[in-house]
Amino acid sequence: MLLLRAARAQVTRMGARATLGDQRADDIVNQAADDALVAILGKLSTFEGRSRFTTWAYKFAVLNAAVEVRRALWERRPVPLDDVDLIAAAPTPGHYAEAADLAVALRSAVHDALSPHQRRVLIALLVDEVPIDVLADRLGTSRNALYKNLHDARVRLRADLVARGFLDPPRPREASA
Amino acid sequence: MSARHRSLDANLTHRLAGDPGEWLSCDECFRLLDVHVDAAIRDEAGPEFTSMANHLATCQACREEAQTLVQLAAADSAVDEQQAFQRLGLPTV
Repeated sequence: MLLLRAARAQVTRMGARATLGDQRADDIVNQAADDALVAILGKLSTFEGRSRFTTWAYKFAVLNAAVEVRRALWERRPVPLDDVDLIAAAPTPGHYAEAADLAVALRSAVHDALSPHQRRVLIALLVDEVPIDVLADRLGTSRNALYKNLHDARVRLRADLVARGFLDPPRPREASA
Repeated sequence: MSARHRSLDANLTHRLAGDPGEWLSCDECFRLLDVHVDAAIRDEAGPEFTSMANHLATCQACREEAQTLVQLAAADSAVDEQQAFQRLGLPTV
């Protein structure tokens, strides 16, 4: 069945069998396929025929399986939400002084240009690499809302670095976007 | 000062200071993903292609899901998935 195939492909891609064991991985596959079928039946009227039906249907099983694997992989792991002191690496032959200066400026921008919530989201997602679904669960919010927080934080960081001359300003086309 | 420390190496600096590109939500990415994946398999650019590629470059969760969808759809069409990965700016696997 195509939904089982899609869920199995996602579980395999994420290496869940090695970490969670075959039984748990199979449970996730079956549950993801079942949930996808419910979602597809509920959203059938929204299918516009802009893609093949199978590709449209696969994505529901892929999403459900991916979210469940991330949750399972992190269910016993603490999600670090405390601050991190970012240390600019000393320049090395492969990391030139200009890049080291940018890292120093970035460190101060993270602490000075972001709100506490933006900094917490940015550090959890990009520094600690907490999966976005897992962080959304722990903070009682949505993947969408967290990605917006992350996007806004990165826009602010770049604006700060541009204002201080560490990055080039956006080209006019980008600025008007 | 925090007790935790992390070194700002070149990779982390890029993740933090890289251009976030145009805004596209994860929900909108999911809504459009099948259209873009099939377009990429046909070697075409789908609608709002740039914002989709930007989103996939910066959202690890959506990227992981897009990679699987490309593999599945490419197998159905019996085409080389690498071309579609490249078209969507996805790392090859």
